[in-house]
Amino acid sequence: MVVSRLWHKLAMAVGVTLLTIVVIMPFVWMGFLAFRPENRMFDLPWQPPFEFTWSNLRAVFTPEFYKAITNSIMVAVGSAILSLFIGCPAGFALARWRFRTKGVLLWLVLLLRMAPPVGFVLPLFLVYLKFGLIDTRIGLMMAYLTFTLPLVIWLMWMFFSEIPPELFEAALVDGASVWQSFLKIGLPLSRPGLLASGVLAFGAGWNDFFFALVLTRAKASTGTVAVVNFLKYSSYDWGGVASACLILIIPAIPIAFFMQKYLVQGFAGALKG
Amino acid sequence: MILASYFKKNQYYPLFLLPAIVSIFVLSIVPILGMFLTSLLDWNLASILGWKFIGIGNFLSMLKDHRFIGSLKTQAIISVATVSLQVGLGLGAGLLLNGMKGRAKMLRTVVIFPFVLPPVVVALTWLTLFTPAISPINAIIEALGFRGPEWLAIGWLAILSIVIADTWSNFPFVTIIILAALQSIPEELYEAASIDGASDYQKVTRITLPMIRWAIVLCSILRLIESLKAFPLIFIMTGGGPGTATEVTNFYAYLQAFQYSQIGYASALAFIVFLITFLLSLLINKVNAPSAP
Repeated sequence: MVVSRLWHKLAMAVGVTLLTIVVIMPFVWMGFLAFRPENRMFDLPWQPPFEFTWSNLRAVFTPEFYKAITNSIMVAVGSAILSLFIGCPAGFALARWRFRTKGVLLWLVLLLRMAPPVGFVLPLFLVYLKFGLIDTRIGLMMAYLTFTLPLVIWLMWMFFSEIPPELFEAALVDGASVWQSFLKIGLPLSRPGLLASGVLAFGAGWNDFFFALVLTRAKASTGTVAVVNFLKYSSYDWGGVASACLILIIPAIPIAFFMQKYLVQGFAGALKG
Repeated sequence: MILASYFKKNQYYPLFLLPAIVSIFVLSIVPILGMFLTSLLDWNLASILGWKFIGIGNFLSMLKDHRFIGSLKTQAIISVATVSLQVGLGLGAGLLLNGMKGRAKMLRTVVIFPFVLPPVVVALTWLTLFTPAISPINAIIEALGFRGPEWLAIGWLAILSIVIADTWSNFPFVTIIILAALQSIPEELYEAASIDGASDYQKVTRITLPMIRWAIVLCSILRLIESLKAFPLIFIMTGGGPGTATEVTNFYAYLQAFQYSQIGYASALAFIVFLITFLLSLLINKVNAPSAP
C-alpha cells in the first residue's frame, strides 16, 4: 500500500518535471542564444568555454527596433484603453439589461472572436489604402479593436454579472440613474475585471503579427514585425533575433498570470452562451 | 416593482451599447461584408484595369485550382494533427496537475507560458530549434551518430515541425480548461468508487474521463477553429514551403493578396476559411444545446 503511494508520488514528480522542462526549454534556449557571442553562434551548445555576452542585446537596440517597440507599446496600450472605454459600458448593459435577443448577440460576439483575421484584414487594407491610414499608429490601434473589443466586452460582461443585482436595485430605488450605478457601483466593484481585461487586451495587441504585417510599413511597424526583419535582412542574425524575442516576451509574464486566472471563466462563457 | 420608472431607466442601456455596436459594425461587420463583395470581383491591385464584377467566377476558379485544393488538404492534416496532440497532451497535463493540489496554482502560471507568448516568438524559437545549423536537437542527434534531419526542407518534416511548434504553443490552453473541469468533479464519486474497490485506472476511465467529456469536446472544437487561423508559424518557419507543402488556405489567401495582388480571388479564399469557421462555430452551439440553462 505504502509502496504504491510512493510510486504514485514519484511518477507525478517525474511527470511534472518533464512538463516543466518541455514548457520552459525553448524559452531557455532563446535566452541562451541571446547571450552567445557572434563568432560562436554555430558551435555545439555544450562546447566549452561558456562565453556570455551582452553584445547581442546592445546591438538589438537599433533606432528602428527601438521605435518598433515604442510603437508596440503605444498601439497596444491605446487599443486596450479604447476597448475598455467602449467595452465596459457594453458589458455592463449586457449584464444588467434583460432583453430577448441576448443569446444572438453573445453568439455574434463569440463568432467575431473566432473569425479568421484574413477575412477582416483584406477589406481593412483596401479601406485604409483609400483613407491613407496604412502605416499609422491610429490605424493599427483601431484595427486591433476588432479583437480586443469582443474580449473586453465578454470579460466585463462576466464581471458585472457577478455583482449582486440587489446592489444596483437599491441604488436605482434611491433615485440613482443607470449611469451613476455604473460609475459608482459597477466599475469600482469590478476593478479586478478592469485590470484583467486591460492586461489581456494589451497582450492581444502586443502579440499581434498579422494585422501589423499587412497594415504597417516602416513608420508604424510594431515589435513583432521588426523582429522578423532581423531574420530576413541581416542574413539570419540569430543573436539579434533571440535578444529581440526576449524583449518581446517581457509582457507575457503578467499576461500569463491573468490568463491562467480568467481563461476558464472566459471560455466557460462559451458554454452558457 | 415600480415597473413604470424601472422601464424609464432602462432606456439608457442602449446608449451603453451604442459605441460598442457602432465600433463592431464598422470594424467587423462592414469588413466581412466587404470581403463577400470583393470575392465577387476580379481585381488585381497592381493592374491599371481596376476591378470587374464576375459573380461566382472566383469560386469556380477555386474548384479547378490545385493549389487551393492542396491547401485544404494541408489544412486538414495540420489541424487534425495539432488538435489531437494538443488535446491529448493538454489532457495528460491537466490530469497530472490536478493531482498536485496545492502547488497547482503556481504550476498553472508556468504551464500557460507557451500560450501567452507572441506567436512570432514561438515561431522564431522553433525556427532556431529546427534549423539544422544551429539546432540543439540536431546537435544531440548528431552526437548520437545519426544524421540530423533537414526539418524545414522536407515536405512531411516541415508539416511535423509546424505541428510540434503549434502543439507546444497551444496545449496549455487545453490543460487549463481541463483542470477547471476536473475540479468540478465531486470528490464523493471517487470516495464511493474507492469503497467499492475501484483501481486508479478504473477511477480515471470510468469517472474522470466521462465527467469531463464535454470539456474535451469543447476544447477540440475551439482549437480546431483556432487552427484555421495559423499564420505566424507558417510565415516565419516555412513560408508555405518547401514548395507548397505547408501552405494552408488562409496563408494561400495572404499570398494571393500580397504577392500576386489578386485581391478578388484572395477574398474568395478568405471567405471559404470564414465559412468553415462559421460552420464549426455552429457545432459548438449544437454541442451545448442539451446543457443550455
